[in-house]
Amino acid sequence: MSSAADRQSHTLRRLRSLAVLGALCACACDPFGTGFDDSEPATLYAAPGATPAPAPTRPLRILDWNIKFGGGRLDFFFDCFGDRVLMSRAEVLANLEGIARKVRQVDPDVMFIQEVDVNAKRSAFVDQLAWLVAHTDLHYAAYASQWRADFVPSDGLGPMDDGIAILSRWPLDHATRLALPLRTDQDALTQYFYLHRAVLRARVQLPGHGDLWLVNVHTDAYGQDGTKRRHIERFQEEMDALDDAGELVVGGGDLNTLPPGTTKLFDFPDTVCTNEDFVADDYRPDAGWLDGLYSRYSPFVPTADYAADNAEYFSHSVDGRGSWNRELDYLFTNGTWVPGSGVVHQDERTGMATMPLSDHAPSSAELELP
Amino acid sequence: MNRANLLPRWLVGLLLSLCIVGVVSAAHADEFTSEQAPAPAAAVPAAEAPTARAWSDGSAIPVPAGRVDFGLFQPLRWGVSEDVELAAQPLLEPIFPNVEARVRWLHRGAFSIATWHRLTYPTRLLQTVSREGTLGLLPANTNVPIALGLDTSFLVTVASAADRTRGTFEVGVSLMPRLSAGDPVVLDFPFLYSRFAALSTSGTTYAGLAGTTLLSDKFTLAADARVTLIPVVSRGWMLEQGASITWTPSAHFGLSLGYRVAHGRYPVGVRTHLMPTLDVMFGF
Repeated sequence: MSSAADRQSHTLRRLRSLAVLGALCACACDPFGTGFDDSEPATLYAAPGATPAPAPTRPLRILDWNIKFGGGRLDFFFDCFGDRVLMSRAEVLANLEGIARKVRQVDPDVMFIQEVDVNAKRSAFVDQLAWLVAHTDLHYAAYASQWRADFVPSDGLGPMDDGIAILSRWPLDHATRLALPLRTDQDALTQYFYLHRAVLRARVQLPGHGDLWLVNVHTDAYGQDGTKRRHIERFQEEMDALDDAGELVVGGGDLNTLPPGTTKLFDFPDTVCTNEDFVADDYRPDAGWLDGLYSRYSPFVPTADYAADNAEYFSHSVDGRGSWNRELDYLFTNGTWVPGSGVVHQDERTGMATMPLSDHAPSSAELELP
Repeated sequence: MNRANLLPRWLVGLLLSLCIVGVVSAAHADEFTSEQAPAPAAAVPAAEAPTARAWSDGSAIPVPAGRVDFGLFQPLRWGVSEDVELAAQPLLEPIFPNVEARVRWLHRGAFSIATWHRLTYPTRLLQTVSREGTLGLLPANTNVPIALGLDTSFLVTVASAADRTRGTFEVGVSLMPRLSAGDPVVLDFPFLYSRFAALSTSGTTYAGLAGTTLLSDKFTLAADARVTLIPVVSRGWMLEQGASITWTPSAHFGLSLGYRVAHGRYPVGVRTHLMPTLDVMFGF
């Protein structure tokens, strides 16, 4: 008995030693904690005291918004309009309040967001997702980091944790972070500290209406090696798998490319950067990259409507003093959109000005209940 | 309110005085040691001391008088006298002017008590890493204040018979009083954070234990651990631990291999970082 206990104790000691060694190896192999597994559970959020909303009685309103890490229209260095790197906590909270005000005005049931900081020096370490679930009616969320590092030793960025999220009135489950391919046109050191993009997939069980699967993505913007195309294809593969399984799915996000039928494809007036690292000004090579999504799924803005008036659906501009000049943000479904519900919230015509809140305008559409 | 303004002036004065004492002590080394440092009863005669003990080890025992040693990543240390050692990081001087002094105040048998003082000018280094692009550890638009770095620690070392093992306890304080206005500067890069945190706080305090033991005449094992209290964040702290094995085939050449681990509460949260260490050392 005694020797069995000794063996057990010895085994425990060895396991403990191995655990310590494993932790040290992990520190040594990924010293700044930037890596991810190919597939891993997403981080779930719930507002304090949250209770699920009652069963929906109207079409589901889906909102998609790249919120630019709560940076509003401060002139950041990467926009080449200014030199800002870090925000104060007061600035972040003021910008988040503007975003929350718009969200409350649109009153969505589900929201996809991109560029949300949860623990980053540039946004004063404010957990923006926790703040949003507490200050909107979307009390549940799933988060997938896309840019995580204990310290990014470039441009004074420092500690970073930024990513994409799905927010909902109802609890989310099966929330999974699926890694996307890394850019291949960077040296190993830059790639190590650069964004590690992902698809975020989750399920929401709609009371009385069954399951709805949600897929969020923010594809590459600046790569010259076809990474963006691989990201779009991977995003569609996730939607296709759910569609093939007979599930109802809505996918959306910032795809960083232009819709079919766009007339202006390059040379945008607000591009002032000369550093190629931050220039995304010519979308001519992207022609046809969204054809698969447009042919299999319903876009929130029908192609004919978009072709009739591109500008009505522009959702991005680099310069907050200018006007929206391209559409980069999308929603797709294998269900049915309420006809005419697809909107890009560009200004007061849809409730309030959004230009000061982010470099992207929010987009929304209403999904017929299953 | 700028927390740096809360820095007690008396503490700055005391630290500065101690730094000056260290340097002045070095300047009057012979006079000082003849008055204050009686020959230790149990000291190992220099001629019989193991080769490895010729090298500085961060204890209260200064490098032997007249000796100079340095490493690629270690300061150049000069034994001014039996009880006073001066040191500096020559490679860093252009961007991080620094000078340090170790003064042994008491040497009785196996016990040595010393103080260590360092005076630095961190502003230029912080300005250097405030840049766009790679190695921009701080934003390029940071207005780095002019500041002085003042470090003082109190060291107690106990040596075993024949000086084969040394154990050292240290307790100290770091201040970086600002001499001009500037932005809050938090350099939260691993291993640098605790060393520059005093600039954005009223100061940091630390305590630690270190030990060295001779594995043989040519191999020395060293280990140390230090806890630093860093009031940049509420209840901020940092535990830094390291160990190394040093091979010193002679009093003129050495090779050291080891690691350092930093585990502590940064503004971003509790993090752990590991760093291998390698140094080539020379002495004469």
